Amino acid sequence: MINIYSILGPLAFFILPLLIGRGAYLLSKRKTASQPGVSYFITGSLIIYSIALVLRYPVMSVFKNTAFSPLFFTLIYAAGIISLILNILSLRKLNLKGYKKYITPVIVSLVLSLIAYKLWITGSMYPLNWDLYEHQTLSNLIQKGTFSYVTSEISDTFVFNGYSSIFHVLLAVSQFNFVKTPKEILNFWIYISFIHLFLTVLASYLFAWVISENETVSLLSAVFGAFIFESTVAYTSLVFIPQTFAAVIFIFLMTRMVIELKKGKTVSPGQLLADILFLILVHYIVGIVAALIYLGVQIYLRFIRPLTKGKTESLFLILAVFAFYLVLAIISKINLGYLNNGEAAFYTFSLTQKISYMQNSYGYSLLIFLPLGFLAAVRSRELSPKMVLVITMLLLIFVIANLPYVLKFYVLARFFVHLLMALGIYYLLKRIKNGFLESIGLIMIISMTLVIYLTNISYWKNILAYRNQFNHVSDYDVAAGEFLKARFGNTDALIVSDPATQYILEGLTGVNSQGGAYADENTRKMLDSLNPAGNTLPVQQALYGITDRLTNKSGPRLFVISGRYFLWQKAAQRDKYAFPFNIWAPYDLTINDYRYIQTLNNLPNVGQIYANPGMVIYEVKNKLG
Amino acid sequence: MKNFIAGLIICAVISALGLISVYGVTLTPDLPTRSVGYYRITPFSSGLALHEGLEREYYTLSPFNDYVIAGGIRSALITKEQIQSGAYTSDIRSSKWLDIAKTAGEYFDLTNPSVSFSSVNSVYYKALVNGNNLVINRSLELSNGISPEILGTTLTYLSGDLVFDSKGNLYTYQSQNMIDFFRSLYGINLTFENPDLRQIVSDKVLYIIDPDLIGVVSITAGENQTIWVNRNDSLVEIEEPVKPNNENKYYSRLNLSILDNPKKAPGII
Repeated sequence: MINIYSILGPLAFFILPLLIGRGAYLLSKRKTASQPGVSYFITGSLIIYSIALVLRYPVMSVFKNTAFSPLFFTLIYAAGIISLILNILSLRKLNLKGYKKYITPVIVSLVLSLIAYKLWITGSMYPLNWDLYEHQTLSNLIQKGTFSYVTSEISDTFVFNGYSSIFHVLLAVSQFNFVKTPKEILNFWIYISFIHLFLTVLASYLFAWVISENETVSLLSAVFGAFIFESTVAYTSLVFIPQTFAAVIFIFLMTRMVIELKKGKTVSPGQLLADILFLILVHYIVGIVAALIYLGVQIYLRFIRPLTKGKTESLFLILAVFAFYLVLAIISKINLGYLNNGEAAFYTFSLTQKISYMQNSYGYSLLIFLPLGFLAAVRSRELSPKMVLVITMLLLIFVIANLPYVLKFYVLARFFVHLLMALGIYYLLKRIKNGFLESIGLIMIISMTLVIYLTNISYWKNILAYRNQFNHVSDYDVAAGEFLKARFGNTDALIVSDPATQYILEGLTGVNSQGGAYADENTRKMLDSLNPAGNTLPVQQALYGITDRLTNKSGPRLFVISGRYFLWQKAAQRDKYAFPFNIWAPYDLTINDYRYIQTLNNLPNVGQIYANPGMVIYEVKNKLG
Repeated sequence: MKNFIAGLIICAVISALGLISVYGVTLTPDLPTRSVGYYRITPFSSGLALHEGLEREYYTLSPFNDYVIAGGIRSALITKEQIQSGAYTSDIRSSKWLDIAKTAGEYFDLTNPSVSFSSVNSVYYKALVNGNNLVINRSLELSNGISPEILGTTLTYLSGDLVFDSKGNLYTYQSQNMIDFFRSLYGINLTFENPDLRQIVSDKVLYIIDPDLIGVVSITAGENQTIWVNRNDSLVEIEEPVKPNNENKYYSRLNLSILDNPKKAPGII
């Protein structure tokens, strides 16, 4: 049976900031731009985050005994209720006729999203977003009252601060009090991932619509938005994380900007600042690049183009295309190895690897239809397609560069690439004067995309095979999580296991671990010393040799022995100390695993407190405790 | 009319470009595969394999091991010499278009993994999955010179595996430590008595457990089938007598199940 809050929570993530933002606009009596939804959302989100920051820094600095959680969530609920009342009262003034033109895009996007998502979750009853566990960990901690602007100050699962905690505050607000158990958490992420997919597809449709003013192009762009899944690093459509969230917001902003510019209007400086601030807060790197594009286009169109009277556009176009091909030609000849050391080396891909990843997501369709899109954009008399082409080229230059993490920029580039592919296909389709044949052509392209999508997700999910499902977690993981949450959810116990197991359990239960999947070198060394093949340290000594970077409390150690744990222990040394290496799929216990478990059962101060076919949990007391 | 023909050409071009696009996709190495309990059944270049993951151990049904006894002489369906000289063909991964179609079918559990081999003898394996139960149907076409008396279907097992029947007779050597531990874990007594390298299994059901894998492979012999354990070659051999026929075509059926653990084995003592 579905818990209703698992559905309401994901909706609240988007609707509550929307309501609060609109409420703020109503109170300030400010006029909004066309397509105000994104403005309301950004404003509301910034208000929510500002309340958190004000409470945490000035207020709690002065009133040191203030508990963050009850005060913050009370204020947010109060703001939400007031906003709801304001919105209801203003319903009469709402011009619904202006929203009629969005009915088709919404319906088309919904249908495409439902198909794409149904295919994605076929054979996978749990969400397939690996990162959700770290974001859930932060949400859990914020709900408990541990809040900071800096993510690594909230949990040691975060070793690199790639974004502020705004995403997690919004998560915490939408989950507070209603999403608690592991099952409810997983259901929440299933539904919020669907909403994210829907918004991604809708953004693709609307952006294509305002650029091309053509329904076929918009439909094609939405089809690509739904059925192209960048299954390495980017993950735009199917994985709801800060970078993909920032990308979708960015495209809605670009859409709104184009609508306003076509009406001869501009976004107010205040809203512009809020938009840029929000993008950067959600994800520093992706947000900054998005903000630069957003700002750059506005500056060009408002200040530079009127001066040059459009005469420099062809020059920009040629320069962008030239720069792209130049980078493509010389990239393999430049050695940037000095930048790609440590963990960065795992996220640096050669051009050959990137082409291979592109094939996973697109087959050969990108290589065939993108150049056609270039041609269509160059030959277009309109400015917008040319702008899209320049932005695409600039983003792709980043993507193909021999630098670490650059594939992340594809979360932005994909919307422009898909629009160009759609333009390229339409360049051919519009030459068919027969309606029936044109429909056949369109159906062929949609079918092609569907087949590519199926083979892509099949390939991606293959390593997650567990019994007749493809999941990161099993029913046994979830059941163990339910036990841990109930018994240790509000204690200072510390889960110790292989990085993947402790990462998952910490996210689902709120029980702490050292670093989750990003356990530090000391933790890995202690775990390594407990190798079942021959441990070099006594169990108690190893477990109590692990300490959380952020908290000095030393609660009981919960030693979780899962099937994953044993596989991790059998891995090569090099892999055990590498962040990118994890046991991604669930694994249950074998006979030889149980032989080791039997030895643990005989140890003093090591008490078995839970067992299922997937894992056994021990509570290990400190000798002195 | 001109417009229609022009439109048709463009439509054909778009369709061709779409097909070329699809051809560039990346496919999984194990294709098509079906899950059977903890395991997966997948065709490979040597036959059908039961495995837990791509990098884990495999239990294989293969024409390189399957055999026929004719005139008292046992010979593999595809011999070592034929393997070494490459004198056989298989349909594994013969067409990317077919593999793409299989991927789509596999995703919705619509495909039945199968593989065929052709040499002097031809053999075709097809796996039918129903939950945790697996039926391997084998079609065999022998060369004209062979008058078979017995057909043998084989399943490899791994050194270290526990191979036992429902009465607790153990057919592979295990340490007393492991036997004691197995009893403490599952309440099943195993006894290893017969040191012969090749033994007939008096029971109709045989179980195989790898202590490093999850799940139990269970083989149930058909009415006229006899199970042997061949410790020399690490093979479970299921033999059935046949009468030669004019077409020299024969059909065998092997019933397997993948159990979660030995306690779930029906009738086990």
